[in-house]
Amino acid sequence: MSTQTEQVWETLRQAGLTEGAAPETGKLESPWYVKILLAFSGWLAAVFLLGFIGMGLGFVFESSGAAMIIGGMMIGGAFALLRISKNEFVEHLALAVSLAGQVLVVFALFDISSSDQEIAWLLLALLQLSLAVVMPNFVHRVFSSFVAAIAFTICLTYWGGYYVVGGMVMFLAALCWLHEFRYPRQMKRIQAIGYGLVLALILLKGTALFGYRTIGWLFSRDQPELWAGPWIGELLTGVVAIYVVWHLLQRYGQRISERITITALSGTILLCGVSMEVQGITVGMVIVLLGFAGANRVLVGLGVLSLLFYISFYYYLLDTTLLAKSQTLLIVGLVLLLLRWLMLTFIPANQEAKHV
Amino acid sequence: MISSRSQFIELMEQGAIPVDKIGDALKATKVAPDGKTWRTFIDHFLLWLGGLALAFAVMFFIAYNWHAIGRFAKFGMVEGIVVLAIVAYCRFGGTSASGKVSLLVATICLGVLLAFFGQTYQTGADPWQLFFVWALLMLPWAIIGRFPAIWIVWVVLLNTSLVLYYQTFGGIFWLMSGSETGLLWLIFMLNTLLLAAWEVLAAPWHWLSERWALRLLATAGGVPLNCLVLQSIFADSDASFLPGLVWVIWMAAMYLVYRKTKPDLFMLAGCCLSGITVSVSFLGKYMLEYSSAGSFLFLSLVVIGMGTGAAFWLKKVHQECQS
Repeated sequence: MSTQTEQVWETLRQAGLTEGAAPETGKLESPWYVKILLAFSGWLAAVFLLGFIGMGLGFVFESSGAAMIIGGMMIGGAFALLRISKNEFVEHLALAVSLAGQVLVVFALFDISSSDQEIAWLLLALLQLSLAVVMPNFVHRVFSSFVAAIAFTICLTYWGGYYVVGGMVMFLAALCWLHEFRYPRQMKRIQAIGYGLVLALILLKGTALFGYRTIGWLFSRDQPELWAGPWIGELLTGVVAIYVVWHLLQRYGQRISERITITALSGTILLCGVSMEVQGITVGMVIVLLGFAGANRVLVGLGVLSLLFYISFYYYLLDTTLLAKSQTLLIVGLVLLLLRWLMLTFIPANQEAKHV
Repeated sequence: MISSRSQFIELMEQGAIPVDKIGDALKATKVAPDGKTWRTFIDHFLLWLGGLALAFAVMFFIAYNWHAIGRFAKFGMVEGIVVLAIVAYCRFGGTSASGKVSLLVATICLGVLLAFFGQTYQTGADPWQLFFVWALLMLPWAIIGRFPAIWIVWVVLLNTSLVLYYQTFGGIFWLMSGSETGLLWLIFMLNTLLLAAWEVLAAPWHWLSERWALRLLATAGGVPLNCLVLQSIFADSDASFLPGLVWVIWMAAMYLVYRKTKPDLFMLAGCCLSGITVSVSFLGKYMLEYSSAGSFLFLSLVVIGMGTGAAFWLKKVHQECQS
């Protein structure tokens, strides 16, 4: 056990939350960049593996049935490998085999349902969703939940609901992060799915910023009729933001009538209202909030980066003039500073500390 | 954010914390922040985001080139904001978040002022001059600011002016090739020099030792070098050994500094990623020439083997750093 873990154990023991000596051994969580390295090598190995299948077993790509069977077997084999062995090499091998198998299954899915692309996307979303739940590997779960969210978005876009998906994905991501420690046995699973959903959310909001035409190339037949406009998407995002703030207030035992609750909720509503035009600001702020609530630096970093990205790319939005954008940003900036002033004035430091 | 998150998760995975006490344990270990921490965080967050939104609002307003307002009014407005931001910096002090935000707003608005000057008087200056003069004029503020974010803005401006200069004149100093390769060499050298200087200066000035800034610089130097090595590997003819040689020296230096002197897992993970990419590209070029199935399978196993080795080593170093 590391010195830092021993210190945490001592803190818990002094608070009367644990007893006895610290546990002997523990598996230290790898930092995010080590996981990215794992994901990269898995992806690269999968590309070569597909090359091997293409060159050595060419018939697989000629028949969708064969691709489906071989792909399914590869995913099943990867699952078995991950279940049986905790060896580092086997873990990498299983990741690569599973990714290559998924490509074969996706190839078969789109080949079979050539005229009903939305069904293929829905099936892909369901496949990835089940893989995110069952595959006993962190990187695999992040990848699968990310792809599931993207595939589900594309499927729903066929049915005209492109702008509502952002709010749905954000709600699911918020649920994951607000309850990450609630079910200890499922903690790793919830965290991995949470990361996948947040990454998908950042990407989805980025494409929504430029209008859904950015993914229009997918719809070769005809452009689907959208029944929900961008404002519905922002409204849903706002509702999720209010839910997150409300949940955090509840966690700290704040009642609805208390000054902190009223200030926080009205501030959130005001902020969601003024940032309707600058899409993405609410999303970025919620990601930062979720990250800070769990002392999760990676999530806070992702939120900050997405905020910088959304504000910078707002410049290139063609729907409104730079003058209108300037006015919107001026209002957003002033409201943010006003909220800060309100917080510093109406919630004195000692009152906040007293409540928590 | 002083976090015990990783350690808390490690203990939870072992089932060492009773389920009914998880909520209290989160608060005791500060994984769930207390009221004071929340207040400071929201204060800083609203301040930074609000300040940036206002600075961007000024930038967008000037970029719109609205004729209803005369040029002197616009100059007055931007100059007024710069002065106001500097007054705010003096009022709040350099160590407070408000002071830092004010200085950054002043820096961004200074760029807007220079761009507007160039647009109004059509000085005939090249675009690189705007960014270079901006970097030069903001330098005193960066020196007194003493926080990494403002120095990263300076580094970005320097990189941008260098790229634009190179594109305008097709070279710089002895690197007059005008090719993309020359530009990659320049960006690599600039950011590696800045990284080395930053690391040396971080010893006496602790405010410089924030890891995110150093990691960003290392990435900005490492990516162009890797592109150069990959270019030399896949070049059809006239393959130069120089990128490969520099890459080996760079990897050795990174290992010595970030494994032996100042352990940093991010830098080592980056080197592993670079090592896998370069080795597999080198092997791939020669093995995939005849596109045989066996070569693909071999390369796949090589990647898995190298990935496993890297992950195993990095975990070992991580354990060492934590103990």
